[in-house]
Amino acid sequence: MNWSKTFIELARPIHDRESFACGEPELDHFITSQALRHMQAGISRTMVLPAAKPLPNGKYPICAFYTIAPGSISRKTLPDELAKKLPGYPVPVFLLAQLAVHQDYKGRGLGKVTLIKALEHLYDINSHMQAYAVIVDCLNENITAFYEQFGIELLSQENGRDRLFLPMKTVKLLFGGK
Amino acid sequence: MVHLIDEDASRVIAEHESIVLEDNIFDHFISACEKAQKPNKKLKSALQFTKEQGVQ
Repeated sequence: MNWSKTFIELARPIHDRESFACGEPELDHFITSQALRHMQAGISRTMVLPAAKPLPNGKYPICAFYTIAPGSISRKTLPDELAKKLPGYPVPVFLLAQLAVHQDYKGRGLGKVTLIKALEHLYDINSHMQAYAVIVDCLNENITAFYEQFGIELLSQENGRDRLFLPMKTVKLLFGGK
Repeated sequence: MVHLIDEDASRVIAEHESIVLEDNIFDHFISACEKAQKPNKKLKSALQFTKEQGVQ
């Protein structure tokens, strides 16, 4: 089974959301039930990598997907002196809200491909609307370990989950040669 | 149904829009973003791998 060559926006008539299974119920639920609604509401955008061939129902299985959204970060207390130094406040960031690979396609490097495509997407958006960093919330330790190997660092812990960040300047250096 | 969607949407917005950090963590975050490390080897090789896979 092979995947296609292009990430495209999730679309109800084209993509078979129900067959997606990555082993994390929260992510499976998101792509099945929430991703489209969140896009319609303008909260986030979900991009999918469909399989090369459709299912008998005519729809394409989803091999991997990522979801991005805008967000912001503020300081618990903000002295006037510091406020003056910041270019914008609260500080704008991008959220890599979801990223998952179908379990049938694991072990072939698709996780890192999906991460790179998500970062590239945010790099493109950043040329129109700048942000300080990409923020990722990790469901468990394995997911944290996945991101940390790429230099995405711990920011804080939120409800027992690791929240990581990667500066947009680092993302720019990565794609700067384009 | 419309009500449910709206409620869900505003919950997500509330979660996402207002990340509030302790002062020392916020300061570390700003400083790290301004210094900006170069991408590490694994991230660069992931980019190379993606190019080789031909995924657009």
